[in-house]
Amino acid sequence: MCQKGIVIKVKDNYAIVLSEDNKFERIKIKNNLVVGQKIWFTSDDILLYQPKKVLNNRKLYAVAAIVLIILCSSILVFNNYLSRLNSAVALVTVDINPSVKIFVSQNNKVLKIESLNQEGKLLDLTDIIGIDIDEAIESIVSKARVAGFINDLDLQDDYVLITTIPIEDNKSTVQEVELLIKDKVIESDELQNVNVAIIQATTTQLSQAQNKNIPVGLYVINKGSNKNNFTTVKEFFSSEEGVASFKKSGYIIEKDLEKDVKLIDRYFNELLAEKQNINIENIDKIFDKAKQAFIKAKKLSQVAKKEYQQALKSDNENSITFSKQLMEEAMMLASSLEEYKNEVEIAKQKLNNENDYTNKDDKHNEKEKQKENKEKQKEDIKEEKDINKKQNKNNQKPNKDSKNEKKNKNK
Amino acid sequence: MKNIDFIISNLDSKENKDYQINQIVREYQPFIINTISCLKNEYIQVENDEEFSIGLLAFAEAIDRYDMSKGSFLSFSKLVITSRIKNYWKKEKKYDYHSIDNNLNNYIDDEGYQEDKDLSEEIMLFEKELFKFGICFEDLIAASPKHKDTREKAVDIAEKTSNEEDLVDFIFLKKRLPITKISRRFFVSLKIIKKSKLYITAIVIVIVKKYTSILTWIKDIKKNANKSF
Repeated sequence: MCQKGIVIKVKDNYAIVLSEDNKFERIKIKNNLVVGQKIWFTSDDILLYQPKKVLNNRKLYAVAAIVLIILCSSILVFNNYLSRLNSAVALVTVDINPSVKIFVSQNNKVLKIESLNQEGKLLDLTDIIGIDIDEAIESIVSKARVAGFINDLDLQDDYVLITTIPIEDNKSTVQEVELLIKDKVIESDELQNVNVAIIQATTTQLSQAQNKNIPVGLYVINKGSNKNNFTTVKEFFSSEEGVASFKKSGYIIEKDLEKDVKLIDRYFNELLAEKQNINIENIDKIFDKAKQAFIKAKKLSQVAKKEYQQALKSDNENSITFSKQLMEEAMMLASSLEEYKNEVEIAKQKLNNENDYTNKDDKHNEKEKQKENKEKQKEDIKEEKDINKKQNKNNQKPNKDSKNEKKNKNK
Repeated sequence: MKNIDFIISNLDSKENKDYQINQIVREYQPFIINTISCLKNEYIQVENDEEFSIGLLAFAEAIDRYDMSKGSFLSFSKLVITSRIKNYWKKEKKYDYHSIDNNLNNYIDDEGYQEDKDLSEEIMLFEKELFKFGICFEDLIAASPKHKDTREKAVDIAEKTSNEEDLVDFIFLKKRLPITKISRRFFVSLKIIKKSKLYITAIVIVIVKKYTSILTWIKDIKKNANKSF
């Protein structure tokens, strides 16, 4: 069938004509088609369906194949990622006195936690699973404190030994973990009250240390020397040598000195309060306490002195002034504690001597005299303390900046 | 295929040979058009009578000269048509070289050219107007009623509607047909109108906007219905 038609529209792969039958038809494209032409066309020329656009089958298959490949590979990658999240890429052991082993995942979260000794088992660690490793350590330390393993008031330096162990070649996670822990130590009050020792180890060292029942961090240090004496963290770090040798391979973030000073100050106040109740029964106890406090304060002043010397080297004015103040505070505290100790000693002797007298009245009078003396001394010491306090207050303002710098130094 | 070969071979003896030849030519007109069109992959222009007539003549010649023993008639006739047309083109080309300016001038002065130009302009205006109604030509392909009678009816409705001012106003304001009004006024069922509504709208636009060339074309259908080629 053939017809005449007017060309209405010309497109890339078809044309539209209005046939003499008044029907709009779609026809094949041929050369030299112009809108407005009147042409003959046959039924062969009519296109019955929407012609395919430029994208043909082959291209579609290619695109589909590519999409499929991308989809598959992304599923694989995702699976891999998920599985890595669920498997441990690093181990962290925490030794205070309780020793625990933490399995850490790719994204620095706690997967599992095992206790390595009896004391470790005493702690309730179930709520640590799933949280970030640095928070986990903070939590462990606080639980240890609550359980009594860390005692602020016993004037012994408390150390927390953290050992990081990469599983297979996962060094990046270990480094991340260390950074997280260091950051946490600075910002956490809990962790500021202890000394944090950080060191790295390998899985072989871990298994050997476990065989010998030693914290792996200590094993790593002792490996160098042949001492097998120190098997607990407390023992190890109570010796200066230990601390020094640790610093060679590891890293220690020391307790905040300022807090120590405040602690001793508080202790001192308690002692003074007790002073009123000095009598024969508790004189010995008080004397011992005073002695300990004095020793502690002396140590503190020595450390403060060292810090001051280091600050001098660094040429940083703020840190110099700050550490100087700290040192002076510590020294004053030490000296006042020394005096106090001496007084208590004298009081002790007197009381002991008094026991030899049978004269009650004399005793009573003597006691009263002593009381007077003591009160006087108490006032003297109080005065000194007040001066100290005032100086403390004055020092508090520049403290903040210097504190940060001190922390930077420690890093 | 074989049938035609047989018929043509047996023509000479028949009485109404001419009539039969005419029949065959008429029947095979699409074939002739197709053959010529495929040569240059161009559609034959209606105005360009020459090519068409040469094709017809060639076909008649082929009928005359056909020898069944030499193969099928269709392929033979194709050959003849092709050679005749190609000869014609060669001659035309020679003409072009000599008097190309003349031809061009003739063409421009010719009425045909002006007609073409008018038509294409009108079509462009038509397209723009349809666009305002949210209709494109591709839509009209699907919207054209399939049966000739339905189309005629639709054109009829469109004509009648165009004569009613209020209906026309409604259409151009609302950009759609007032189907119920049309149905009531011209006694047509809703269904018929709804089926062809886009088509009817388009024809109304052609009529109202006075796209005369397109209109002539459309109206010619009635004249051409009985016309033989």
